[in-house]
Amino acid sequence: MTQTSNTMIAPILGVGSTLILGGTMWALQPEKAIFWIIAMSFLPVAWLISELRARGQAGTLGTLRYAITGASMMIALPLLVGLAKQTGALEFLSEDMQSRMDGLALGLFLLIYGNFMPKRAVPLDATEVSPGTQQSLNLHTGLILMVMGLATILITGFAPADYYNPITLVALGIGSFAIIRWAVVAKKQG
Amino acid sequence: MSNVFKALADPTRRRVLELLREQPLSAGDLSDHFEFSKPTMSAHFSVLREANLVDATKSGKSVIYRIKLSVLEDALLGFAQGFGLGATNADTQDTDKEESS
Repeated sequence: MTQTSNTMIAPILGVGSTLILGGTMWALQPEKAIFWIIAMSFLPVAWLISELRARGQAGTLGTLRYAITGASMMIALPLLVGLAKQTGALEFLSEDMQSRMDGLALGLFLLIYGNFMPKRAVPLDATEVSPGTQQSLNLHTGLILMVMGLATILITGFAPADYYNPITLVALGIGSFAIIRWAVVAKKQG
Repeated sequence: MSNVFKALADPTRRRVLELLREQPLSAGDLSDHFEFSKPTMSAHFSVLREANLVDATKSGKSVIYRIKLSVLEDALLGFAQGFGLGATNADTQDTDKEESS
């Protein structure tokens, strides 16, 4: 099996999952069709455009497919929780707990994904920054994602029902800002 | 997971990871930093590969090594470095040439 086909399997499975889950939700909730169509089509379109733009750059393509895999999991997880709610699979939980499931699932995902995100060899043809800086940037991004995940779990799990959503959004916003800030600083350092 | 602990317990392998943290290096370039024989270094690289902490890519006649650490493995590496886990008198004599010169 070639290197290229290896890197294709994970994003294909990830994007395929979002298509299947989004399609199922569309069938169950036809009144929200536009919402599910966007959820289903966003990643395949983004992937196609990015692949076309990055063609011929093996390292960039590998990084792109890795990111698509992560993004597909981030979309598939809330779809899965939505499907579980829709089919009554979460009825054994209290209503309050059911409403908190999205946040808990997202937090758990960020915690796990953040840990493993840097565990990928930096492409040898990395262009914009040096491999050492790229490695350091990946580790910092992973660490911030883990902190965001932990914060999301704690806030969603323990904050009062009226407040956990806005507080979680603020925490995620601060984390995203920190990641972007790191990326900008790393690019300046080269 | 035991492979990771085994790999990080040795100061030489930790030094290899520290060197790779700065940039990808060939097996030859890495070996130049140590006073060990090539088979010994090769055994260290093998342990790191088995623990999935480095990636080895063949490039022409040489093998390029790149670091592959998760956040927790990086923290573990820092912890092992900080507390000098696995360091013995014999190990401390094996510091790389740069430091000794």
